[in-house]
Order: sequence, then structure tokens, then C-alpha cells
Amino acid sequence: MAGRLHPILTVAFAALILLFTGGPVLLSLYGSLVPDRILLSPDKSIITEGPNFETYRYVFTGQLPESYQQESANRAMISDAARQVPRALVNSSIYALAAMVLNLILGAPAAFVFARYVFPGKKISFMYLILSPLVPAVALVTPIYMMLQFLGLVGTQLGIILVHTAKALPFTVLILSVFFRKIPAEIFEAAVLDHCSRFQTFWRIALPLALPSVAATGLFAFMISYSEYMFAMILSGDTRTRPVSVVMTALARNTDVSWSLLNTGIFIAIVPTLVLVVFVWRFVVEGLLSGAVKG
Amino acid sequence: MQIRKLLAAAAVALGLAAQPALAQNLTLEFVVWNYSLETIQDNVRLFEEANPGIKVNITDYAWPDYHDSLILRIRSKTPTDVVYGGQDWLPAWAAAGFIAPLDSVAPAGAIEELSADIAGFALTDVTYDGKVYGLPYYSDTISFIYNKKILKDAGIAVPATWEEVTAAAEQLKAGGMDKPIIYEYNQELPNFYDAFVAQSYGRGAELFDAELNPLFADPENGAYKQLEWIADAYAKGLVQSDNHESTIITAMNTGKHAFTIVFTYVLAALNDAATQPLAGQFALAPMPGEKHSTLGFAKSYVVTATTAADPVRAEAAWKFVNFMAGKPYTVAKRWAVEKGLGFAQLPLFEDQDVITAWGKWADVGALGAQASIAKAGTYTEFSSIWSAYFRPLLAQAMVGEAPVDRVMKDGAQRWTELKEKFASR
Repeated sequence: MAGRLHPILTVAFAALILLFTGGPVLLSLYGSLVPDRILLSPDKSIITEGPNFETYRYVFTGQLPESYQQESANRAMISDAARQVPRALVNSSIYALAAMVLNLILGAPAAFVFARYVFPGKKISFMYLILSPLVPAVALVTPIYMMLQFLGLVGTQLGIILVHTAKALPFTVLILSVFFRKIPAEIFEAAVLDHCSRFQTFWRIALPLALPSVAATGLFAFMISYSEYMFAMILSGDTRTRPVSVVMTALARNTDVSWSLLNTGIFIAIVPTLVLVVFVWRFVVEGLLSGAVKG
Repeated sequence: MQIRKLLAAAAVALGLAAQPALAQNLTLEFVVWNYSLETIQDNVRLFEEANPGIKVNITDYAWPDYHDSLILRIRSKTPTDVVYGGQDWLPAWAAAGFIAPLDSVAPAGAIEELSADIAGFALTDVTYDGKVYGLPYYSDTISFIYNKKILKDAGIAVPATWEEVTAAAEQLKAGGMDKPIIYEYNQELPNFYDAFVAQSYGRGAELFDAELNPLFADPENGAYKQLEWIADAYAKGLVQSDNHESTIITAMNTGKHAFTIVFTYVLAALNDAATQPLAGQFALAPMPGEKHSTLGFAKSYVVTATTAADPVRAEAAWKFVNFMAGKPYTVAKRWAVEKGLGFAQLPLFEDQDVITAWGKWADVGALGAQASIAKAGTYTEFSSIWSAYFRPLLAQAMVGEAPVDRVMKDGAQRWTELKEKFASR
């Protein structure tokens, strides 16, 4: 038993972690189910008043909560930015999926070449690729915006997808090249003896062996895109192209958002993320670990 | 006769050639910060219905990112026709040639006629170098707001001077209220400085002279005294800092604070029965001080210089700006009635719908009286740069991290340096 924590301490630490991770989620759920006047009142609660789904109805249908129809009510605190959340979730998913697919299409072959072949300029191009994320994103906003403006891609989904792909690509190449390096060279030598071309070696040998790692890296690219804010904010001009990171920032910063509506927006926005984490995170970790112990 | 026929035919041909250009669909690019986007979209829809052939595409950015995003658009020549402008940005935009005077796009006499209806401080805010660059989207003042019930229960009269505010806060603190004053303390926000100016105006202070020389470093100046007052209130533990007006609304509605200084439209939210538990308990009082003046400001619709240079787009842009801010002030009235936003178009103070709507959350007479003595801030090509420098100093002095004397001297020195630098450009 030496070196193990006392069970009570373990439970206490676990409870603390749960409090800081699950607590905000539960609070946002609670805040979304009661109007502000109940949320802020010391005498009333969800138990005395019951849950209220009017803000959810407003987000999805645009129908105003009944409290806004009453005397002495104005619409100062009912922000329609909250109504952009469902559409923004769809946009974010499109960007993240597209960035993930493009990253794998472009990044996996590049990583394989960097890992298994020698060619002029290999070292410098690899260094350039993996060091490029060290440039602060804010320094790149203006040149990238101007470049996309020149190409007519500002305000388009394609523009955001391209930038998100470029943002995640260095990580994809770096992580996958590490995995490809760990595959024993004898396997590739055997493939060459069997007259496999370079592409066949990559497609038939390397890729299947690295599949868990490829999937994990793709999900990593997905998450980078899903949470990216700065370029999405600059490049998306309206609700048709706006991802959830930008909409949530607007909701949190605007003055015309009631707490109830803000919490509703937060909860709607985090539910898909929670689902993703529960079902997919295990594969990410397993994928990364499988590469770590290989060879 | 042949020549006449030829000329007539040519005229008809030219007319036919010109006709499609006038009638063709034109899309204006309208850039806004994303406050109440649905209302903006609905106003645009109404404009498009009234003006067939002109479409309006709205691009919106979150308020904190708006200015930088807009400048990026203009510098990179992204098509942009009409934008929301702010009083603090307008001189720099005009000096840089980003925006155009409205008389370059409006019919002769139209701007003078509309200007006659605009409150003085708002007209100052949309004017640069003697020319009107914008028509007000909304306009507001900064108000001293208090909780009527708390003061009544404690038997405290509404304070008329800053010294009386201190006395009232000390009395409330002695009665168990930990922090009677809640203050929007966020050096990142331009209105952090604006609120300080509003308080100084209450004392009757002038922060700059007619030649734009700084006056506030003088210990006898009202701004200097006001900074000392704020530092003293913090030192006495009377003030709760809060970094945004939106959270001040909820904080005031806990009943744990009696006073705050915020934009007047916040009063509409404070007294909103739909969301706030203490709705109806809040009122504005004249800004404490000898003069009771305050800061008024205007956000406006402005037209970009590239649009003004294109006659067809300029005409459409003017129609749009005139629809949004011109007579009969339907759009400004809608913002006032539905959202509680202030306005600069003075005739709306007599509009019965506005009086009825505003009467739900404010004393319209008191509001009108405040607007009538409100003053504009001092905005120049460099004032935004200076404000970004001065706000952190102000913040330090308020909480006792820097002496008032040094902060005011540093602020005045920096202003003078920038003034000289920009004068030599």
C-alpha cells in the first residue's frame, strides 16, 4: 500500500476535479432552465418555480419568452445572437470535418515522406513546417486576410477551411512522422522486395499500421479547427459562415444577453462537444499511446 | 433633320444604355457590431422593400473586435459602403480618408436640415473639421444610477454632490452594505475613460482648453478632484469593481449595491421586469457635482470614401443612411421603443410612443433634462491612442497603485506629445 493515497483523499480529489469540470456544466444547465429573475432571487429557485424551457424555444424557433410580453418588459436583454448557436454548430462541424479530412489527405503522405525518405532540403523544410506554429496567430491575421481577400475567399466557408487546415497541418505532419518512423524499416524493405511502389508502400503498408494514430491525429485537427477563434472571426462575415467559437464570444461579450439566454447558448454549444469527448476521446488517447509504445 | 434624328436616336440609345445601370441590382455592404442583429436585419428588409434594386448585405463583428476588423476590411479594400462609426474613432477615420463627409453623398441642404434636429453633443460627435460625417444610429449619456428602495429604507436623500455620495455610501456601509458603489473598472474599455469624463463634467470640469491643451493635471481642475474622489472611495472600501456593465446589471439586482455610473441604456435593462428581480427600483439622478452635466455620445452611420467616390453607390448609400437615421426617424424610434437605446433626434423626446415605452423604466423628463445639459467628449485623430495609454494609469490611481498627481501629469504630458506629433504630420 506504500505510495498510495488514502481512499478518503482519493475521493476528495476526485470530487474536487468533478466539481471544477462538471460543476460549470451543471450550473449552465441550471441557469438555462430558470429566468434571470429567479436565478438572481434569493427566495426563488428551480424547485419552487419548476424548469422553464422558454429560452431553448426562443433559440430554436424565435418565439419570445412569455415574460418578455408582460408589462414593464422590454427586449433590451434578449439577444438574437443566441439564435445563431444551432447554425454555428453546423458550420463548426463542417469546418472541423473538412479540416480533418484535408489534414489527413495532405499531412499523412507528407509525414510518410519526411519519415522514410531522404531528399534535398528535407531538414529545412521539416523545421520550417514544425516551427511555423510558433509564429503568433495575431501576426498572421493581416497577411492571411489580404491573401484570402485577393482570392475572393473572405466570408466563404472555403476560406475558413483552408486556414484551419493550414493551422493544424504542422501538428499532423509532426505527429504522424513520429509514428511512421517507429514502424520497423524491415517491413518497408520487404515491401520493396515485393515490388511495391512508394505510394503502394504508403497506402498498403504504412497507413494500415498507423491507422489508430492517423485517426487520433485527425481528431486532433478536428479539435484545433472546432475551437479556433481569431481567423474564424476575421474571415466569417455573417451567420451563414460563422462557427460556434465566434458566436459564443459574441454572446459572452454583448450587453443585450440575459444570463438565462447566455447559459442556454452555452449548454447547447457544449452538448456536442461533450458527446464528442465521451465517445471519441478514448480513441484519441489510445491512438496516441499506441504510437508511443510502438517499436 | 437627319442630324436631329440621329441625335434623337443617339439620345434614346444612350438612355437605354444608361437605364440598366440605374435599374440594375446593387448590393451595399453594411458593416455593424452585432448588437440586436435581427432588428438590424428587419430594418434592412424594410429598406429593401422601399427601395427596389438596392440590396444590403450585412457583415457583423463582436463589439470588442469591431474596430480592428473594420480597419482591416478598409485597408485591404474589402467592399464596404456604410458602417457603424463611433465618436472616438471618427476623427482618425476622417483624417485617414477612410470615410467621407455626408454632404458629398447627400442632396444639397439635406444634412443641414437633419442637423437642426440633432442634440448638440451628438452633432459634435459626428462632425470633423467642420463637416458632418455621420447621422446618429443611437446616442446616449452616462448616468448616475441609484436604488430608490435602498435609499428610502435607509432614509438617505438622493446625493447631489460627490461628497454626498461618499456620505451616503459610508452610511450604507455602516448599516451593513459592504460595497455600496459598484464601478465598471475595466481599463480595456474606452467607456472606462468616458465614465470618468462624465463624472468630471458633473463637477463642471473642462479637461481641455479651446486649443486642445490638457487642463486636468491642475489640482484645482474637476477631473483631478474626481480622480482623488474615486481613489478615496476605493481606499475607504466603498467600491466594488466589476469589469462589465452587463454584470453590473445583475449585481445591482442582488440589492447589495446602491450606486453605479453606467450608460443610461443600462437603466432599461436594470428595470426590465422580464429578467430582473429588482426591476422598478432603479432611477437616474443628475450626475453629482456643481454643474450636473455629463458626457453624451453618438454612434453613427457613416459612408466610406470609396463609396462616396462612386456616384451610383454613393446615391444608394445616402438613401440607406437617410432611411436608417433620417426623418421621420422611424428606425431611431424603433431602437428607442424596443431596446431602450437613446437617440440624438430631439423630436423623438416628444413622441408619445417613446414616452410611453421609456416611462416603463425611466423618468423621461429627467432623461431629457440630462440630455439637454450633456456635453460631448474631446475626440481627435490621436485621442484613441492617448486613451489607451491613459486608461491603465487611471485604473492604477483609482485603486491606489499610483499617485493621482503623477498619473495626471503623465497623462497630460502624453497628450501634449501626441498633439505635437500629429500636428507635424
